[in-house]
Amino acid sequence: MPELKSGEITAVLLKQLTGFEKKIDLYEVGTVLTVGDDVARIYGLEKCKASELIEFPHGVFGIAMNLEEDNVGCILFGESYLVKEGDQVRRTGRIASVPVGESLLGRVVNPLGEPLDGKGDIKTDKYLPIERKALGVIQRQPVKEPLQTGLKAIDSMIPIGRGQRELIIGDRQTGKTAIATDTIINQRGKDVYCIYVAIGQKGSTVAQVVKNLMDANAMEYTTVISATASDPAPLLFIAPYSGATMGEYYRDNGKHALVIYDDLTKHAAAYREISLLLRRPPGREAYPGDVFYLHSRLLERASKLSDELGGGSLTALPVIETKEGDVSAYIPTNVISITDGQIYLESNLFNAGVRPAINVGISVSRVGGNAQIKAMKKIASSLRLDLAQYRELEAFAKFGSDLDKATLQQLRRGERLVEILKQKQYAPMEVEKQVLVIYAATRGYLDTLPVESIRQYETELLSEAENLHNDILKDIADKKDLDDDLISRLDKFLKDFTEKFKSTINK
Amino acid sequence: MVDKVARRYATSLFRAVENLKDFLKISSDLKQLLKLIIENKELNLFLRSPIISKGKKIAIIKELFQKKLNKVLFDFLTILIQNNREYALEGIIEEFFHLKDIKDNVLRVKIFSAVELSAKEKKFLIKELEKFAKKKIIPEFFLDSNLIGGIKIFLGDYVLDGSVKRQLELLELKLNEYTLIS
Repeated sequence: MPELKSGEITAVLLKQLTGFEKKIDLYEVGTVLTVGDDVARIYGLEKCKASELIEFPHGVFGIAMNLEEDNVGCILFGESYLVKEGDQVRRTGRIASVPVGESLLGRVVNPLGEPLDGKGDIKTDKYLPIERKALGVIQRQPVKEPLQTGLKAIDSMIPIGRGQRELIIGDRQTGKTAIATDTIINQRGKDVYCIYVAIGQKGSTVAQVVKNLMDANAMEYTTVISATASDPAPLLFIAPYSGATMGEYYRDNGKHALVIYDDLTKHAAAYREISLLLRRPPGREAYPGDVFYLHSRLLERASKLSDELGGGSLTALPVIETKEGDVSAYIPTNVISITDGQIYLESNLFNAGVRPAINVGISVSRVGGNAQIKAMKKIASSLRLDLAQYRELEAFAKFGSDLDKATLQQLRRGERLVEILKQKQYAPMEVEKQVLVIYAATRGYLDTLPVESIRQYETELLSEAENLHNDILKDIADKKDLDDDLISRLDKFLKDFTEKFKSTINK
Repeated sequence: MVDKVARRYATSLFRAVENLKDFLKISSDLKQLLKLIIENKELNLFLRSPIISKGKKIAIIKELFQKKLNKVLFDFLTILIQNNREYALEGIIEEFFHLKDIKDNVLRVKIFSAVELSAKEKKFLIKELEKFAKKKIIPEFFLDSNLIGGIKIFLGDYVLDGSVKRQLELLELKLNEYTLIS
């Protein structure tokens, strides 16, 4: 330990103690009537307001959820065994808040903003309330910039704009989290701050996600909020709101943020648990009546600000887990109706090796099209059409040679398009490369190649383009459009390359 | 602690009797009744027992209180028994006096001090509290050496805490606050 001079100690103590003067402390108290299951009922606290923070003994905090005639129902954020019947509790007059700002980047925190990664305190003096009202109509504008996920299937056909809310929905083990993490990884160098909110997941899963993000150097611009399955339900309940608050800080400062709620099914279950313990009347599937409002007020906070307010954005990617593909259950239908589109993942596609297992036929993005770059828009329309025709004819594929020439050609094209939309995990692709690959597929350059060689073709095409024709990629990225000159250069390059490739595989 | 049922009955009883001319007599009767329930275990058990039938309870109450209690109060007790609410009597009387305090503009406070206060100090304290709360103060004094020094006053839901213990707690919070930021 370095030597300390007594003068220094005195100076520090003096600095800290100035402003501390003896004064009478006035506060309001109540008494704990019952406590258990992370819920406490309190007698007294007559002036207590809804969702006010309440201080219990031993540093436990709670939020007033139910204000009743003779008691206050309260959810607890700490260990409920520390609170006993008859304990005195105190009103704080504050609303629950979380730290916000750049110092949270690269950190793993709990929904109250307390660090979980052992990297020391969060150094910030900026706090914002967890529950904030969503912006009004005047403060917003339609989405106009793209949020590139780096996944060919999404960026081409289900484009997401900054400020949009796009639902990722599918059964367990269909790659929902994979899409979310790939999207975060792809934001590297794009000035988008990411927040990953894990709600009710296994601790090991969260650790895995954090490790993957670290390996991809994506933690530098990411905050992970973790409320695992073993945390009390109140923490799970506030987790997405904390995430939204942290994202809103960037949005309000004219920056861009992406927040992923993984997943809202467990969030609804946690809220159901709290509601039932507070004896609120159960409704359909035992969820309380305001479970729609629970998610709508959360997702409504995603927004694209008007230029006068700095033009920042908060994009939300909520995740919903369905049971056996049942999207007409209560929570999935609710969230589908709130969001601006959804990405359907299907387990039979996943098992057939189509990964990401996106069913592009029923996935939609209601507003993202405005944000797509022109080049992608041009090639995506023919891609969508070809795929739709392929799906219609897919059933006939069994008949093989009995089909006419045009049908065979449709089937051949479709198979190759499906193949080209497959993508490995942790390998997001820049938009100009996506344009190049999809252009090659929709213009029929792949039609004469065997399906098995398509992946190899893609890799070699991209490395060839990067090494020898970087100007084409650069022009697509800069112009964001395909003009006649660019198209002729593309066609020439693709023709030459395809010939070359064919000769190598025929050897 | 007063539950919803007691609150309802107390409010009705209070409204029924607050403008009667023997209101003071009724409240002193109630006070004695409360004392009786608390001190006499048998009476308390009898009132709470669900086994004894309503008719029997009313007969016993009649024998005990008809002569001694005001008619309104006696009728009230009968109604309570008829409605199966006699178990709430204690809470009802407590709440009744709470309502009476509000009507009389009286505030009951509990004053905890580390050392015994002198009569002069007590008088001064009550005078200042009456100024603060704008109500007549009825104090109860307690000794609590845990406070280390100073006094702590409970006015209903509010607490005026000038104890050394609380000052130390606040100092601890303040010192921790600095370590969090720097």
